[in-house]
Amino acid sequence: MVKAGHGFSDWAWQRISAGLMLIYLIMLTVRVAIDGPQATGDGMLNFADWRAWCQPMWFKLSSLIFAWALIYHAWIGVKEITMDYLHHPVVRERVQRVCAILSWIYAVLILLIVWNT
Amino acid sequence: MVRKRPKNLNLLTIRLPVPALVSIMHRVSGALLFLSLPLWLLLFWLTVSSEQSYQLAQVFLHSLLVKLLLVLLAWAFFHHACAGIRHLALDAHLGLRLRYARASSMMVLLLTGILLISFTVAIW
Repeated sequence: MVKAGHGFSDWAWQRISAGLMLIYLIMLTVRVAIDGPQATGDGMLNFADWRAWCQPMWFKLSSLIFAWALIYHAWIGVKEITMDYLHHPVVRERVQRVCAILSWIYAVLILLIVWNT
Repeated sequence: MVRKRPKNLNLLTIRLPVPALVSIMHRVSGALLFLSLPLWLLLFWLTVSSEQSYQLAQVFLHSLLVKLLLVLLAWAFFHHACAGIRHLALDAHLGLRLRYARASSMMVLLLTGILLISFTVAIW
């Protein structure tokens, strides 16, 4: 169960994470528009070009922050939905636990993927 | 005294106001996006990890079924983002009056439609 008093921070974090994602998406759109991944040769984007485009440190860091904001935002949303529709406390608890574990796994996986890019 | 209230549970005759429609779709799209997270992780990982996996991702992305799935998820993303921005505006007390709330809901639907059509044309 979610303890009383956590409602405000969930509400606030949901909006803070939304704002972070919005800033990143605007930045991404601008980057794609002025400095999109360039295809060399046959017009098809190749692996090396795409990977190089993803490699600048500032881009990796901001993408990681975006991904983590997204995962946290999604987790808050899942918590809200389960609280509204799953009335059986044990069922709700279990579903929340599975989603929490999944969220942690996603957060670690994206760190590893970005790290190794 | 037990009062008999009129009940209408026929979903086909209940007219959902546009803001309510946008609101429930915000939830549905959010749930869909959460469920799609493993797919995005897998796709991104395939494209950046090696030449071979990059080719595999390309084959995967060119299949009809995946394209259809992408269109569905693009809908979820565009709707969720547009409706989310509208929510942030409402939080800032912008457009609270019914007339504006209706108009902005219609705008969310319209913008989502435009973005989705552009996306679908772009990937096909």
